[in-house]
This record gives sequence, structure tokens and C-alpha cells, in this order.
Amino acid sequence: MKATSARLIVFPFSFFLVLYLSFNVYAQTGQDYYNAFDRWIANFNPAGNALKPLNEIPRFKINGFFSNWTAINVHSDRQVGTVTKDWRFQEIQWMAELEPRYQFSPGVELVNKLRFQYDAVYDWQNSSLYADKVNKDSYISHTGDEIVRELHLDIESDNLYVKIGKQQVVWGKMEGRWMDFINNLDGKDSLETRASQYNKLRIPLWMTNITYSFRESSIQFLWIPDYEPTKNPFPGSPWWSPLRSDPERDPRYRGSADEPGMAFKNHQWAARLDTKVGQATWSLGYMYGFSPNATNFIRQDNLGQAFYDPEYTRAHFVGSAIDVGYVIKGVPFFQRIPFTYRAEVVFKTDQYFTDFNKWDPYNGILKEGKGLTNTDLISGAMKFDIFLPGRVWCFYQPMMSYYSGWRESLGVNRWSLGHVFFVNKFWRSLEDRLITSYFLFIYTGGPLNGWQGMKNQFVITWKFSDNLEAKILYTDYHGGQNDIYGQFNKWDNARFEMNYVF
Amino acid sequence: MKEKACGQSITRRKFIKKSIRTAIACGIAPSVFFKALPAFGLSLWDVEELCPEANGNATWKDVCQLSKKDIETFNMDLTPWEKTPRHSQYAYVAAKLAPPYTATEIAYMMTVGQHFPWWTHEGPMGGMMINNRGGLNFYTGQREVWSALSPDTLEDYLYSWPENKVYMWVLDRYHKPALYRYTKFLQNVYRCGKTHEKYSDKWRYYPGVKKLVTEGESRYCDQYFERDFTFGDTMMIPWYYTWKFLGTDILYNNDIVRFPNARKDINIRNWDGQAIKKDTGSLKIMGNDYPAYTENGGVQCYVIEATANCDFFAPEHSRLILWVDMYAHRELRRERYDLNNNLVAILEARNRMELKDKGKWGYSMLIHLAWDLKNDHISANHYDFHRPPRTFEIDPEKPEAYFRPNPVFMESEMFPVPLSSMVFNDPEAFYLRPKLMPEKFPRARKIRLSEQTLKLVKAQNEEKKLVFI
Repeated sequence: MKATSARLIVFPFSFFLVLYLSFNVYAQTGQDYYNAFDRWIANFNPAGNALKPLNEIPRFKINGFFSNWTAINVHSDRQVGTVTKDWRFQEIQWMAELEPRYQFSPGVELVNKLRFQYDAVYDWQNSSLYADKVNKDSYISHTGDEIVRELHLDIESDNLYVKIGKQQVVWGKMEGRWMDFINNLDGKDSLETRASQYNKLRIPLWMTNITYSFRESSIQFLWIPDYEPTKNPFPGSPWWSPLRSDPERDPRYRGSADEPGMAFKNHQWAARLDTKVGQATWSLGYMYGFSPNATNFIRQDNLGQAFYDPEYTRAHFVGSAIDVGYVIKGVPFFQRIPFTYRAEVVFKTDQYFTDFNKWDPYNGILKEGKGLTNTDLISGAMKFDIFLPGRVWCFYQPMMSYYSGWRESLGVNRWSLGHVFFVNKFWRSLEDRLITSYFLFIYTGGPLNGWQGMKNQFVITWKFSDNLEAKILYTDYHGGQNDIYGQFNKWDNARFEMNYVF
Repeated sequence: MKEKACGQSITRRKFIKKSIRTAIACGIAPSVFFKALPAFGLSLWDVEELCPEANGNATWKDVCQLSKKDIETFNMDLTPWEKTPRHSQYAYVAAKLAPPYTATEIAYMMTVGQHFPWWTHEGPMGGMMINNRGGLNFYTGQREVWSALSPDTLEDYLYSWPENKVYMWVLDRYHKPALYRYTKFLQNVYRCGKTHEKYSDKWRYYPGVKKLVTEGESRYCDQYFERDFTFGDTMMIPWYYTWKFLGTDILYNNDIVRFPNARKDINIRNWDGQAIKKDTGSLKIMGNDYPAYTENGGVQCYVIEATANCDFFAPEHSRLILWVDMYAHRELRRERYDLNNNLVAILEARNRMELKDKGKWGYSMLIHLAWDLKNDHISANHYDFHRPPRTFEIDPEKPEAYFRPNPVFMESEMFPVPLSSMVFNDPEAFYLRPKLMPEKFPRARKIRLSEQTLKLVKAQNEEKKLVFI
């Protein structure tokens, strides 16, 4: 009995003692390796070091970045609506950009951004995805226009700023695109696209951008002879909607719209006023341009057959934005809370929708006109940012849209109301290198479809060094199969992003 | 089933249960054992270099040790704040600014241009932060400042500048780190007081999203992103505190912003943008032009204590202790204590004369160092120069015509001023941690460090360079 008891005590004790001691040893060794890695990665900048001789040329600078976005679907293969979802990777996007710039004299600089993009999601896995075979734009930069992403001459003087060339112009202050209507977006990733990615996804345009400043205000004029429509998910791409069928297979589609040419009548024009009113900054902008996407008008041919005749249509865009910072005092426990309020409102004319009173798509009967009804869209958002102690940042952003001229036969909601909740923490104990975030998006609408689903997103960002950061994200979608978010219920994914900037 | 020697049987289930209990006991026991052991090894006195003594005497004196002659020589007035005459309009401000100085008046003079010199200027800025693993990050950029006041008009600021009126605009443009290149930070600075508590409006341009946003006023005790400095460190408002003298001290070159032995030189840009190599040993705390060095090269300092003034706000730190030089009234060392009165941060600064025609008001900061004791990181800010502007023009009547929170203005990706040459990327060349000085003013200072930090401080002092875990 005694010998057995001794074994029962001694053997586990010995085992765990050895385990405890070796854990300490390995933990120390692991710590040493991590410390050495931390010191090494702080200086990791191979491209920057290689380009150093070029950066020492007087007035010349060359920077750039290299990034990868990889998204892995977490659901098993299945048929979802019109989509045979049999892929594991939803995105394996490689992006490399070089940005040479040359300063002719103080205040005069030529900037060029050369970008190469390649989404390996079609080549690196076996699946039924076929967008690459139909349209090269779906996955790779293959034209000079795509590779020369930006090229502009910047001239700055005391009151005048002139930027001529291919560029992005960003208006507004909100999370999302409200007043940001000058450049359209590469939206191939549909609802997965985040506001922090817009800079890399906005489509630059050739334009002349002149801003004149006076006192605390400025007025900006844009003359845009160029046009690029929004890029939507391609049929056969991972983010093609399961609620839609491939238009190429519909005999009524007889070709895509011709983009507006360079004739003067097709040029776009915009102006913006920015000023400071007390403690608030306020902005008012107007653009006369083309809608982001072609409108599918319905026509009848000589044989009386209805067909889709897509055309880019003109619209007026008017937007206004305001933001102001406050401090909320006397808050129990927190004492003072820095608080920022932002709001944006946009009015867009000529938003066309198929009208089932005018067009019967099931029987192919055109009843009236071109089968569409024209509405105007009023949309807006407000944002309430607060900064709590402990380096916690939260915001709440309600968003609303309303179609004036709506009718039930359009088959879309007259109004929608979305909510974004966000919580973010910077971890001081890790020198702010670790940032954890959570987003919640909720969408509702009416009167036709109420609940439109929701999206959760968890983000962990780690800053390895001044040049390198990585993110791990998990995104999930909820809702009914016909909802905006719910249609992508099986598109939940874990995502990895790496961004190296030099 | 197994049988014990005594004949009783032990089921497999009982065997597993006993093993689990034993395992739990073995797991808990060592941790209890090690916690129960007395904390062994190091104390502050073991690890820290004690400060040199002057002529065999300690360099510091508690206020109660000061003789009448000392008090007269040092122009000190020990009248407490509660009995100090107040200004007729601004009752939270002392009525006079003339020698002999109370601690409050010293604080007013120290505020002038402590972080941002009180003259309109532009200049490079660069900063670094290192952790105790040797991971180093740094930033470079430039700063443009407009100031309505000048250092020799402190009384205008104290007694006649209206509350709610901006007296300074600051624009920072960041070139590095690469992840945040072209970020801009714009703020104005108000004279704040009883009727107007906000001290600053802030705007930030984020190049990653190409948007200019307003930011709410930061809490005084909030730290800058990736830095150990707080907004209160860089924007001191003296009436937010109640001040009193703790005593006097003498600080020497090796007491403030210490270079490792291996770091022999430093590049500092002059007003023309040329990077001039200087021997680190030749840099003095207050520069070469300081007329008030002691015969041993020390700087005589007031040591003053600041307690948060609850009439204004309740910060997350309760106390500061500052070493302020007696001639130019520049802050050389600051200690920040938390609400439990533990020392949480030590800041140090080296200064130099930049505008000789301003006399004692012509000093500006060269290097500013901060040590976060709890997390054991060290941050440093460098300012090569603060020259009168050559790249921008200001109408003094309308400074907001230049410093405007305008999206197009803030989008600019040009850097008209040369970038700092003082930053480096070698962790072993980083400054040593500030001295703890445990022997000075022990009644007023409570210093507690973790075992790991004590070991690192000891190793640092032995090897005369930062040693990493």
C-alpha cells in the first residue's frame, strides 16, 4: 500500500516538476527568440534599404508598399442561390506600388504611383470560379492605365493649390462613402470592403484640381474629362451575389455600356467650399457627373423583342459635411470625455430603378417608356466618437437613405436605416503596437423589406515595426437569404492582411 | 483492478482522481512557494548610481534645510499659494511676477516656451521609442508654430490675454514612420481658465483615408500615440496645479539625458539645414552659452512640487515634482506620480540658447526624454532647431489664414523644412534611462520598480548602455 501510494504521489509530482521547470526554460528561450526577433524586425526594411541610393538623389524620393490580403471562407462547400460555393479562398490579393516623386522647386512636385495587383484566388485553388476567364480586370492589372495609378503635377503657393493629372479627390469625413463621390470604387469585394481600404481601391481619374484659399476658407474646382465606373463583383467571382444570375447568360443582355468619351459634353465638373465656423469645420460640395454604374434601360428592337440597353447617365450630386470636437465634463468615473460629432448629408438625382409597372421581366414585356423610374436619393449619416480612458475609442454611426419619388413597383425599399458600432483599444503595455477592434453593422429598411441583416467584424492589428503591420480579421454575416447582409451568410471568413510600407 | 500490498483494491477511477489531486497540488505548490519567498536581491540603492556630491555635501537641500541666506540668494519666496495675493481679474493667477519668486511664479516662468518656444518658428522634429526588448521605432517630421506671444511678454499672457483666445497654432507634418507618412496634426492653443476650460482644438489628417477630421480635446494625462509623453507634458498650464518649493538641487551633465558610452557623436542640423556632427561629451545641459553654471559645471535648480488643483480638473496623476534651473527657468527634470503616489514617469530635457537677443528667454529644448517606469519604455523627442520661418509667411492679424483646418491644405505631401538628423535606428545607441536619484527628497518621492526593471537598470549602469531582456 505504501509503495503504491508513494508511486501515486512521486510520479505525478516528478512529472509536473519537470514540466514546470522545462516550461520556464523554454519560456525563457522563447522569450529570447522573440526579443531577438523584435529587434531584428524593427530594422526590417529591405526595399527601403535597396532604394536608399535613389532617395539620396537631391529632390527625388521613391517610396512604396507591398501588401497581401487573404480571406479564407469558413463554411463547407454548398450551393447558395445561383452560386456554387466550392472555394476555400475568397481572396489572395497581392498589391505592390512604387511612388517616385520629383520636386522641381519648393512647392512644385511631380508624383507618380505605379501599381501592380494580382488576385491569385483563381489560379491557386481548384474551384468553379470563372471570372478570370471572362474578364481580366477581375484579377490582374493588365493595362497601362491600371498600372499607372496616379500621375500628377502638384503646385503649391500661398493661396493656390493646383494638382493636374490622374488623382484621387476625397470629400467628406465619415466612415464610409457619402460625400466621397468624385472617384468611383473598385468594389469587387462587395460588402467585405472596409473604409480603411478605400484609398487603395478608389479609381483615380484624370482631372484638373484647383483650390484657392482665403482666410479660413477655400474653394475647390474640379474639371474631370475622364470617367471610370464603379467596378462591381464580376459573375464567377467570389463576391458575386447569390441573388443574381449571370447577366451574360440572359439573352436580353446584348453588351455592356460604352463609357462616356472624352468629348467636352461628357466632362464632369465639381466644386467644393470648405470653411471653419467657430469650432466646427464645414464643407459643401457639388458635382455634375455620371452615376457610378450604367443604367439598364429597356428597349424594343425591330422585332419587338425587349433587350437591355445600358447607358451611363448624368446626375447631380450635392453634399455637405460638418464636424466639431467637444469635451463632455462631469461624467461619473470618467470625469472628462473627448467627444467628436460628425454629420454628412448627400442628395443625388437621377437614380433609376426597374419599375415592374413598366417592365415585366418574367414575360419580357415592355409596358411603358424604358421600363425604369427615376428617383432622387437623400442619404446621410452622423457619427459620435468618444475617447475613453485606457486608450479606448468608440463610435456609433447611424446612416439613413430615402428615395424621393419611390413607389412600391420599384421593388426596393423607400428608406433604409443602418447602424455601425465600433470599439477599438490601443494596448499601451505593448507600446500601442497591438490594436484590437470590433465592428457591428446592422441594416434595416422599409416598407418592403425590414431586417436586412448584420455583419460582425473582429480585427487584431499588430504593428511589427515602423514599416510592417499585420491584421487578422474575422467577419461574419447574418440575416435572411434575401437580405443585403444575409445573402452572404455562408461567406463568413477569416482574413489575414499584411502591409509593408517603405 | 490493482491490489495494494495491504490487500485493498484501487480502481482505475480512484487512481486518476488521486493523480489529478496530486497534479493540482504540484502545480499550485511551486507558485505559492515562490511567492512566499521574500523578494530577494535588488533595491534602488543597489542598482542606481548616486548623484555626485559637491564639495563633500549632498547637492540637494530640503526647503527646511535652506538658510535665510540661501533663500535670499536664490530669490525664493516661501509664501504658500493660499496666502499669495491674486490678480484682480484672474483670481487663479498670482498678482505679481517679480523676485523673490514663489513656487507659483517659478512655474509661470517655466511654462514659457517649455515645449514649444514662444516665438514663431519652424523646424525639424524627430522622436524615438524603445522598449526593454530593444524594439525601436522612430518618427521624423517638421513643425511650424505661430505664437502671438513672445517669451518676454509673459505678463501679457498671465494678466491681459483674454480667456478663450488662441495664442498659438502648431502644425506637425510627419514623414516617418512609413505607415503614417503624410499624417498632419494641427492644433491651436487657448489661454484657458475659469470661463474657458478647453486648452486646444485639434485636427488630424489621415493619409490612409485621405480625410481631415476634428478630434476632441485630449485629456491632459492621455499619452501621445506610441510615445511616453502626455499632452500635459507638452502643454503645461500652471494654474492647473498648486505649487510649492521642495528645496533646491544641483544637476550635472551626467544627471540629465545620458548618452551610452558607445555613442560618441550626434548630428544636429543648423538653421541652414546642414547636419553638423557634435561630440556628445561636449553637449551641456543648458548649452555652451549658459552663464550660470557652477564651478563644477552644475546647474542650480529649484525643486518644486505641483499638486493637481481640483478647482480645474481631476487628472489621473496627482503630483509632479520638477527641477527648474534658477537662471532661465527651464524645466530640466519632471517626475509624474499617479493617484497612489507612485512614481510612474521621469522626463528630462537638454536645452540650448537659440535666440540670444531674447536673453534668458531665448532657450529652447534640444532633447526631451521620457521613461515610463511601469511598462519600461523610453521615448525621446529631438528638435534640431526652431528658426524664424523661411518657408511660410504669417499675417499676425490673421494666423488662421495659414494654419487652417482645410482638407486641401492638410493634404499637402511636401516637407519644406529639412528633416531631423538626430534620430537613429541602433537600439544600443539609445539614451540611458533617467537617474532615479533615490537619495534625494525621500519623504516626497515614492519609487517602486519591478524586479525585472531593477535588474535592467543595474545592468545598464554597469555596462553604460541599455541592456535588453
